[in-house]
Amino acid sequence: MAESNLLFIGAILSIALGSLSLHLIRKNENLEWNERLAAHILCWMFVVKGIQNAAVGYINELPMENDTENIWQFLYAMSMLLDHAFSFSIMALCLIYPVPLLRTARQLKIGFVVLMTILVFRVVLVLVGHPSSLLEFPGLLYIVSGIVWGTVYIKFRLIEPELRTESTQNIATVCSLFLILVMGHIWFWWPGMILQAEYFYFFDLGGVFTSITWDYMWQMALSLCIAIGLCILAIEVYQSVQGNPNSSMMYILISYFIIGAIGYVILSNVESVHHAVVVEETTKLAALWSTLTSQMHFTIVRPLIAMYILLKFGLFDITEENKSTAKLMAVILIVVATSAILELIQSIIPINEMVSAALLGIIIAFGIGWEERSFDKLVNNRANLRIDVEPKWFPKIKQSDKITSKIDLAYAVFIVIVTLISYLIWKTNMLLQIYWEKGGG
Amino acid sequence: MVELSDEKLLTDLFSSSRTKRNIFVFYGVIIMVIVYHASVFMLLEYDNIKNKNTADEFSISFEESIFAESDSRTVNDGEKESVEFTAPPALFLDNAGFGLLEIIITYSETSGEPGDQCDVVSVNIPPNGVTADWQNENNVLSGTSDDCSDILLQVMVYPEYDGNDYNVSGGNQDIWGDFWSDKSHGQGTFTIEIEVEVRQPLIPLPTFQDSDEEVNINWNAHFFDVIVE
Repeated sequence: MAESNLLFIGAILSIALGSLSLHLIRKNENLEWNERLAAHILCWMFVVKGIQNAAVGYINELPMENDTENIWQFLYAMSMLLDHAFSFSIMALCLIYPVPLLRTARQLKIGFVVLMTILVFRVVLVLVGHPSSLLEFPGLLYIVSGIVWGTVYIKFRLIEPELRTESTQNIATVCSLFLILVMGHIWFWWPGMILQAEYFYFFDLGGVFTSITWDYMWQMALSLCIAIGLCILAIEVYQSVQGNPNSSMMYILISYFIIGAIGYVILSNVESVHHAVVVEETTKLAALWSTLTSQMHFTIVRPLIAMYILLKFGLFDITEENKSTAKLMAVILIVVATSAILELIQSIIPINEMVSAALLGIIIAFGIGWEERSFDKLVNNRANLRIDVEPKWFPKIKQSDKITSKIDLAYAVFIVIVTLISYLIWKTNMLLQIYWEKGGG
Repeated sequence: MVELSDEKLLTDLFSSSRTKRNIFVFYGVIIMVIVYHASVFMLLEYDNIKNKNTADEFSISFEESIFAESDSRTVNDGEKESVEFTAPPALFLDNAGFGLLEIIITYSETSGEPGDQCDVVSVNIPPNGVTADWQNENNVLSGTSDDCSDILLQVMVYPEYDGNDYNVSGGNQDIWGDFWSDKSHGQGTFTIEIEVEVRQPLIPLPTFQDSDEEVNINWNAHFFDVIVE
């Protein structure tokens, strides 16, 4: 399966998760102020990420030599601008959830104004012909979310034994889940960063659009993510040894880092072969590996983690009335993710279509069966973040009920504006001119 | 609007010496990794990273030397004769690689009878016994002659070798030198199979006797040295 197909799968999953969750969250009257804000931001974050995934997928599918209309500019601009919205969402999320770091209405206002200023500034930079400028501070998303969630994770995971409760451990778990969601794909590259591999240090996200300083800042943020990942892994192993295990989290983290180590063998091999035929074969393998690891995390694992957080930590209020919608969402995510994974496996091990269809049926049956049992288990066994935790961590802020409607409206308007700006950029050939000026082609 | 709560976030986060220690260790690890990354990016690999899209160009040329060996066989009518060739080990030591093998098969009508026509000679090389580029489309692995003309066979031994100079980008001199210095290609014994079909004169004389043919085999092994500049 091509990388672009996986992006389309990711788009479906993200948009389905975002929109269905939004529907459920709007009906939940029992959320605290920070949970309500976080849930709305999380849903919209996946909607914008889904549209962005689709845009990138279409760019990859475009036959460049026949793209006489240069529509890639529209898609590329959409992708850039929506990525800024994704960054905004993550940074906003880490400041209010699971523990609100913005603790008064005034702090909340200042915090969100700063983040929105950054977002608007980045959009203006694109609009005036400076996409991927240093002024946007590349990698800020990883730095802010990594430091905030990392700090909160350490505070609560390593809290004094007399203050340790199930809720404090749950707060740490939410932080680590968000860190996996944001940084998991980067943790696959940890040996490349340490062993100075080309596949890490030569990584060039923006091609001709980015300067070497931009690349450095981006990579610095990636290195920070790897450092955070290694710290969390070390803490989980240490806590297990100390008799305070969170086994699932430790195994997930170990899996990411082991996959990273295996990936080093494959990805660094591309650097050391120069025979045309071998390069082609090795590059194919490296591309397949990246699809199976980083892209898989990017497109499939992220929505699944988000769904787990929404269900497990009570952001949905599952009643008999809306249970079917929640189950529908879970089934869509599981079935689409399962079939995409099978397709990926099929691309490695070519199996007969009839066999793969039968396998798909069996796997989906198991998936739905698993969903039946685990969904009820998940919904009936929610994790709490507040019981037996000092109240100072969860300050009360009275908010207008309309705040969430305003958030929804703001995101919807932003998507419309982004579409218009992207159209403008396309029709003025702005990106094409920059491409030629910077020596592209 | 606001029910006042504890606003001193940092005080709460760093409320105990235990937490302070843990969080500062965490920040310390992050700073160490960032410094390490900066030193690799800015000092050790900076030039390579800067020039990652401008790969070095190299000119690759070959100096060829030919090792020739001859052999002959008298092959009976309807029979098949095998002839073998093994390149001397010294050639592999003196050269970078074994490029290709040419085999020229010559014969004439040796019966001496007036009016006797040329015999039919068929030759082929089975693709085994030697590590060579047997799938190369420039290989000529079989041939037939019925007019006493020479039969030319060719085996491309070193993959992608055609004797012509060319330019490449990327890699370095050592990589390209190593690429063209693989001694494993051409190691082993080539075998050709020769078959003769004797043809009688249109009007045979009573004293006529032609039941075989002498076939000459010339092996030309093209070895090469590589120059990467």
